[in-house]
Amino acid sequence: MTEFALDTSTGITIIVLFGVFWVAFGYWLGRKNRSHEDFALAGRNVGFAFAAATAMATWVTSNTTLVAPQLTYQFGIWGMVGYSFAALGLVLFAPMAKRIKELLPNGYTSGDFVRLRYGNLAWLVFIIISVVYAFGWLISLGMAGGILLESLSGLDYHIGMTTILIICVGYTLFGGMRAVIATDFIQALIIIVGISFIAYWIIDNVGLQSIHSNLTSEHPQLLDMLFPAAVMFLFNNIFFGLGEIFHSNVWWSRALSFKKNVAYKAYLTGGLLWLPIPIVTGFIALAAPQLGIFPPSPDMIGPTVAAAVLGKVGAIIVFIVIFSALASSLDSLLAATSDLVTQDIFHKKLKPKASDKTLMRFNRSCILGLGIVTWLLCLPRVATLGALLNFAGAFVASTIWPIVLGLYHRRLTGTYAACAMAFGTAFGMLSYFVVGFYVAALVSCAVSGLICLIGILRSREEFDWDGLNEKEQSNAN
Amino acid sequence: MTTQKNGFNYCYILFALCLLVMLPTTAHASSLKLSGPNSVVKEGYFTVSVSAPNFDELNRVTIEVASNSEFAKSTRQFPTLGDFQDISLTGFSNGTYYVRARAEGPDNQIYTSNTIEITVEHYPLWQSLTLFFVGLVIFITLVATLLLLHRQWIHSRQERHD
Repeated sequence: MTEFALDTSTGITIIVLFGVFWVAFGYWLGRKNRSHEDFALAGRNVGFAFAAATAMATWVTSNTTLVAPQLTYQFGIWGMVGYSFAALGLVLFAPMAKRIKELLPNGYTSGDFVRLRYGNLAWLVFIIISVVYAFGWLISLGMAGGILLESLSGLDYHIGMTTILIICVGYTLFGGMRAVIATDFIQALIIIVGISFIAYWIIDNVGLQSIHSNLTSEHPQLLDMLFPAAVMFLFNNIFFGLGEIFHSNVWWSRALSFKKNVAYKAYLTGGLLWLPIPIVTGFIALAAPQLGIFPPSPDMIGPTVAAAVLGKVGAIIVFIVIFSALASSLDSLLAATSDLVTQDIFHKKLKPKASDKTLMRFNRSCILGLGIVTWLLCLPRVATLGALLNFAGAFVASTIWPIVLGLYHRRLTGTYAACAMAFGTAFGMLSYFVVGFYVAALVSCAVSGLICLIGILRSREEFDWDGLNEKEQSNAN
Repeated sequence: MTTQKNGFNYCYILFALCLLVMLPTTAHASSLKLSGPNSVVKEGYFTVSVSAPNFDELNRVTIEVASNSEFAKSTRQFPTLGDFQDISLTGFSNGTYYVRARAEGPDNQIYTSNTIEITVEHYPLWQSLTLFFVGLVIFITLVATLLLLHRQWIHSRQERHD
């Protein structure tokens, strides 16, 4: 009865070919890793082209390729435009990346910064937020892999999800950050070319006028600029994006791995390159009603529409583009989260004198462990991708003010920073359940900002920036 | 007498045959079920689920949405995708909608599900605009704070170098 855009066997063939290529490429790149710094931060020597590509490709993820169409399908024009504002996260992180590189020339992670700047209490709250967010994102990426294969080829969700996880864990395990950044560069090129092609094809074949006419008569709410839930969602999405980027070690580890004076330009370029992508992927969803496509789950709308319009060849392109987008984020997140656990917990708290070799071995075990835990958590399909991601919004948005003020302002103390993150998260979660996912990050950021303001006004202490220069204790064996 | 007896047998057999033919139809018609959101929909989108014991045998499963329970006029039809039993619908304005599923059985007969009532009531505009402006103010404050602090740092760094 069902006619999927791809045969199941074609879907499996593509994924096996890609999998073999990426893992072999990761292994080849990994041979150059001589130390833990090489493995975790690619020797702190990444140039502008790779830096801009990795910033853009990592931010093009399941969010952009699956959730942007989902939110457009649900919230209409505002869903699409609002989603593209997440580029502001990368753009505003550009000056911060420059400051990070200056303050922490030998730093490894965002957790390092929070511990040294605010102390252990704030660090503990921050680590909890980071871990919840990392798993929320990892699960959403694993789920997106399964959903992608299911919606395009009918392959069982669990098989698709497992395969994509195995591939990404495989090449990150072999190649570390060097493999992550190099594969991101290729994946960024695939994403830009592929998405431009899909958008052109849909406009050429379906037509803007017919899409607009159908929406006006059948789904007018999607074109309404005063769509209440969508209006609420707009700034929520911006704060969610800012929180994700400002706190996450994915972006800090990149800033630290780039050459000096590259970070600012790379993040700015990456953000500007990213801006139009959700508009294009979101636009695909607006064509769905005109085409008579109504998916079982809103997060399946993007690939389903693209495959319906483009046929089998198009479905293969969609498949490759989305797979690249997923892989480029999954590998980054695996690498950055394992760095965070290795550096902040294992090295700083448990084994301060661990050798370089031990750190590298532990880092690899972490990548494998994270992959297994993600797989276990992805087995039950707990929520739609949008709902899952926005739950994490309540957590990450609470870190925006403590991170910005922590980088530039001397007077915010650790106690207030910890309270800002903890209470911001608590109120964000409360609003998530009482109102909806589209206000969680906004409330979280507002509460956190208010506590930070009180903290600055009441504080008499001034932080000494030299306190961020921590001496390395590992034995370089 | 003999004729009467034969006539009775003939009618009896016909009646039994009719029952046999009717049985699967009754099973189809009564078992096609539709379920949807239990509470008021605040966002204008919702998902409904169609179920039937013999769902795989059904073709052209379509969801019908109308603004009156008789489905007399302005009925919109939404085909389900493949053999998925859920369908996600979107873009509804305030109002009460009556929703039912229709499907074609292997015998080309049309079956209809129960009708469910879905109420869409968007958030009041004042509430969403209040949140919008709260967000705008926080965002402007954040960007201004970040840029000012960054500028101060760049200036102080230049002064140190000079």
